[in-house]
Order: sequence, then structure tokens, then C-alpha cells
Amino acid sequence: MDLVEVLRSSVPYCLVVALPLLILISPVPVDAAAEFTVYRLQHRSSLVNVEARSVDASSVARRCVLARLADLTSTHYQRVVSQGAAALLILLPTNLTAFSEDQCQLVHEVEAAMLEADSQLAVYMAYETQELLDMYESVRTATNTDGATSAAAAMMSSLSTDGYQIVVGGSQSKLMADMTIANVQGKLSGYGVEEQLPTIAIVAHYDAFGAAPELSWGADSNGSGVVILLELARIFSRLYASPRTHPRLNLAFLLSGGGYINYQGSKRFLEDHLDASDSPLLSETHYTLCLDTLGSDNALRLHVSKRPKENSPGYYFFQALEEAGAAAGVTVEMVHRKINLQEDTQAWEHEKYSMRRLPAFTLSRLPNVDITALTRNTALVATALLRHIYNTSVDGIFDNGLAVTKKSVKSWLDLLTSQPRSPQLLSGKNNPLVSTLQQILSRYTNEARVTFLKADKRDPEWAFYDVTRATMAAYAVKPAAFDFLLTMAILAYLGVIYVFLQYFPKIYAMMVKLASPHKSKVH
Amino acid sequence: MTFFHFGNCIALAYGPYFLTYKYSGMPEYGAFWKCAQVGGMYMLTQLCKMLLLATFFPTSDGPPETASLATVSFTIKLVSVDFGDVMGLSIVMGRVPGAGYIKILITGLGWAAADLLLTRALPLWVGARGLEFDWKYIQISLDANISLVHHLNMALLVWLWWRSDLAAAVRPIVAVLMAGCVYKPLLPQLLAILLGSRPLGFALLAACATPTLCTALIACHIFITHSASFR
Repeated sequence: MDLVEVLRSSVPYCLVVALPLLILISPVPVDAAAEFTVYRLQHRSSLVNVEARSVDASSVARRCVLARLADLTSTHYQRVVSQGAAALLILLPTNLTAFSEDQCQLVHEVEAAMLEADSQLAVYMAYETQELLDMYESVRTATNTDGATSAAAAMMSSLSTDGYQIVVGGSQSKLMADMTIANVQGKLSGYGVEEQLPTIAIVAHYDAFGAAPELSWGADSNGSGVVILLELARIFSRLYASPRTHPRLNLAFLLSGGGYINYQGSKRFLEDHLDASDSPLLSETHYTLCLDTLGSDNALRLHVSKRPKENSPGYYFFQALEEAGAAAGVTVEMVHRKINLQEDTQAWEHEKYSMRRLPAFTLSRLPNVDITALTRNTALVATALLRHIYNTSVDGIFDNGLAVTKKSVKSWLDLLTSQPRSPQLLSGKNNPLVSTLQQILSRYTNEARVTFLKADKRDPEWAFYDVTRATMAAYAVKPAAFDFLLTMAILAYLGVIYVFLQYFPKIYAMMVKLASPHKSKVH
Repeated sequence: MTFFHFGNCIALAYGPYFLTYKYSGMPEYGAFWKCAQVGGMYMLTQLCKMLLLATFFPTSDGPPETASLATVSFTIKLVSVDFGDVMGLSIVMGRVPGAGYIKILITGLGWAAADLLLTRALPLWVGARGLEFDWKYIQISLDANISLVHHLNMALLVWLWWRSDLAAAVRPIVAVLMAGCVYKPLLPQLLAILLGSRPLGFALLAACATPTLCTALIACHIFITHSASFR
């Protein structure tokens, strides 16, 4: 009994103080209807907290525009920019390869427009999920009610449909201060005195580029070139290991970085090896073979900036390639394009080498990745190189592990497409992909090493932004009119209760009257 | 959604409590402090119930999703602990001074207010202020109104039960109604078994409100006949 007394006198006092305090210090909620990862564009990015609208809404100013990639055209994009939308969220279908040729064309146009026009618009991309599609449908139907006939109709429709508030948090993207680009190089030394032997350099840039860095997988451009280079390194490492097949020729392999920012990797490589006199690697090159985008198609083009003279090694290689191509049913043609020295950027990687008076050409197909075609192209290049180096048709050599197999090509390709390869994602000293590439090259070649280059501090040739992905949250919201409507309803409800309580004595008396006949029955 | 929305929910949840207190003649009796004490007793009762649950049903991980007879029988055992509420109400009823309906009002309102404060204030504070809109919070607020009727009803039934001069014929009815009130949390599961699917949202609210209002009406009738017999 004492205990009860103590509790009665003490418990309510402290709880009356503690409970409101507890409630007040509870954190502000952050629950959302949907949270998903969005990918930022190369340059633009800002944090947004705006309402969602569909692309065909009448006004999108200071709103987030939701659009499916298939529905988006560059005209739409320009309209969105000119109306001053705050953000654009593009829903990417999970299966992009199902797009038709025309749709691909449209997508390329939109991508170009996005990379070109510099505006305050924040563009995000996200893969379609059921959640996102539901949201998109809801936003589209809600948009149509903008033109409702009366305010009451709009209010009623707001009861049934949801609007969405789009919030992108995280940190503001900044210019990356110390971005590095890595070159991975390796060498196979020929038989004899290394310095006196001619060299063939094989170059492929390993980065990829797209409107959104996180989505730059680049299996074909230039994953395919890297695959061929790695496969060549594998094959030639075996040939160089055997004394019988050790040729009097050096092979240099370069996986250059920054291929999409005017071949910065190649530029640095040339500066290192031509301007520095102690490096004999490029002192006497037969030619430089740049591999770019060889994933599919039945025609190969050898892009040159200066036609190779007859009897030059480059000419022999072209001939060998033509012969090998004819055997495999692939047409090989030479495309000549003079370097425009007025231009700041070079169209092809070989132009960097040609500008330094090194014979060079880019092998490319031009107009997704087809493994079969890639395997065939790899075999083709390998055969042509073998024919040129050993000056003989060596068809029987492709066995016991020397053959270009689909399996090994696929494994290289899987490695390269395991992560997006936009330059800013490959930055850093310990990037896993770069170190993997280095390990592979050091397995097959000698003196494999990685060199890092940085942009000039005062006059940078490239600039990239960090924070390539963010988390976007979509909150289901109702318009302010809805809140007002709700307040009205609640006030009416409370009014009814008030009236009920005011008249309760009368109701009570009425109930007593009603009950009294029952009373006589009970008793 | 916004703070305004939170205000709406709070008005909907607490308004009826305030109006009931204000316009049922309780302030004349200085009943506020009594209500707070009843609230303290509510907390003590809940603590005892939780101790009981933790001691005898330690493996319960909240209500199971699938509605089968086995889970229902288990839930019946769990809900039976709610008879602790009846006992708590009985104790409080003995200690609150005043006669007749004012006693019932103080006990019921204090009990319901403590319940509202402890079970619904936090979800409203956390949820209704967020950016996200959900009908859930309106439903919680409406449910608070149903629970007010429910608790007043319980207090009334408990008061009736302890009347020695209650007509013998009515006593079983009061017992059945009280049991019905205690086992009210089983209603969603029962409906799930009967209808094949658990009602959600406003349907569930309506399903809870109907039996509560019906019991309240019957209990009121019994109370009126009982008090009329003394005139």
C-alpha cells in the first residue's frame, strides 16, 4: 500500500515533464515513398527539392521534369531548358539494346544536346523500375488536371491522385582537384640488341565516355580495342618466350587513358618517350597501330593521315591485313584524312603519333558488341601482325593456346565492362581497373608500368566533376488546397461533436424517456 | 507533409478529447489533475502487462502476418493480458471520488488520453510532419476518436460490473460486452479469416468503429436503466 502511495505521488509528476520533452527531441522524419539511385551528367549538377511534372505539362518552370528516354527528343530538351525547369529525370529502359536504329539516332541527338548546352538544369538518369513507372504514370495523369475546368474539380482530383516532391541530397559536385589519368604500358623485347631493333607500338585507349559518367560502360568504344590489345599481348608473349619464334622486333603495348579528352594519354606517352633522349622505345618505330572500336561490322578501315609508302612496314601490314581479311571475308580499306593542324582536337588517336612524324594509323570499323565479330577481328589483326613480323603465312600457328578464342575475348570484355570507365571514375593511384590492367600486362610483357598524368594547374586541358551518382527521393505530396480542404472537414467534424456535447443533457433525457418503458419490463 | 498537415492530424485526434473534457462538466469538478493521475495508473498497468507478456510469451515478434487459426489462438492468449486494463480501471475507479457519470468520465477520459499520448502522439509527430503524404496519419487520428469512445465504454462497463445493485439479468450482458471490448484488437484478424483478406485503411476503421459504437449504445442503455431504477 505504501508502494502504491509512493507511485501515485511521484510517477505522474516526472512523466508529465518527461513525455513532452521526449516527443519534442525526436528527429525530423526522412521516410520517402521511393528512393533510388540516379546518375548525374558529366558537368551539370545541383541539389534540387522541387515538384515533379511530366514533359508534356503546360508549365515546367522550377519543376522536375520526368521523361522516358524513348519519349524524349532534343526539341523537348530545349523546351525544358528554355522554360527554366529545375531538373530533368530521364528514365532509362533496362534493356537499351531493344531500341531501334531510329530511336538510337534520337537518343544520340538528345545526348549531344545535353553535353553541348550549358544550363542550370540538373539532369539525372535512372533505370526504370516498377516504382518509378508508377510514379511517372501518376505524375502524367496529375499533370492533365492542371487544365481542369474549375477549382473544385482540381481539388477533388487532388484527393485521388498524388503529386511528387523530388529531393536530391548529397554533396554538391565540385571540380576534381587532383584528377589523374593513368597510362598502362608494357613491352616485349625482340631477339638481339634491343636498342637496335625496330618497334611496333600497339595502342588502345581504355576509357569510355557518355553523358552520364556512371553509365559509360563503353564495351565497344573502346573496350573492344583493349580486348584486342590484351589478346595480342597474350599471344605474342608466348611467341616471344619461345627461342624458335622470337622475332627481331620490339612490341610496345600502351593502354592509354583519357582517350576521350583529346588522347591525353597518348600525348603524354609521346612526350615521355620522344622528348626524353634516354628512352629508346620509340626511337625506331615501324609503325603505331591504334585500335579503336572494333566490336562488330564486316568492314575494317585503316585510317591514315599520310598514305604509307610502298615497301614501308606500314604498307606491308596493310597488305597482310587485306590478305587476312580476304581469307575471313572482311573488306579492309584505307581511309586517308589529312590532319588539320588548326584544330585543337584530333579525331583519331594515330594523329597524335603522326604529328610527331611517327608512322601511325588507327584501325577501326566505322559507321553493340558482337563477341563473334570481335573475336574474328582480333584474329584478323593477330594474323596480319604475324604475317608482317614473320613475313610468312603462319596459319598453323594458331593452336595450343595461341588461338584467339571466344572465351578469352569474352573474359577480357567482362573485365572491362565490369565498371563504368568515364575518366573521373578511373582517377586515383589505386584504381582497381587500372591496377588489374597493369597486372595483366606485367604477366605477358616486360617492364609493365603505370604512369600517371595530371592536368596543368594553370591551364588545365581537361576538367571533370566528382559526385557522379546521387540518391533521389520522391515524396508523395498533396497540394496546399488539399490541406485546406482537410482543415475544413476536421472543423466541421469537431463542430458536430461540439453540438452533440452541448445537447447531450437533452439527448440523455430523451434516452431516459426511451428507456423507462423497458425499465417496467425488466422489473 | 507539412507542419500544417501535422496540425490537422493533431486537431482531429485531440479535438474530441478536449471538447469532451470541456463540455461534459468536468472542469467544474477540477478533474484535470484526477485525469492525469488516472493516466499515471494507465502507465503502471501497461508496465505490468508488458512484464507479464515478457515473462509468459517471450517469443512474440509482433502480430504475425498470416491469418490462421493457430496464430489467432496465440493472439487470443496475448490479448487476454488486456484484462489487466480492466483490473487497472477497477482500481482507479475505486480511488476516484465523485459519483455516477462524472467518475466514469474522469476514469475513461484519463485512461484514453494517456493511451492517445503514449501510442499515437509519437507516430503522428514523426510521420505527419514528413514530406511524404500518407492517409495513414488521418486514419491514426480517426482511430484515436474511436479509442476515446472505446475507453469511455470500458470505464462504464467496469463501473457497472462493480455495482452490487446491478440487476442480475443484466450482469451477464455486461460481462459479455466487457469481454468483447477486451478482445477488440482481434477484430482485424477475425475479419481476415472471415473475408479472406485483411481490410485496410478506412474499411478497417469502419469495421472497428461499428462494434464500438454498438457496444457503447447498449452499455449506455444499461446505465440509463440502472440509474433510472434509483429515481
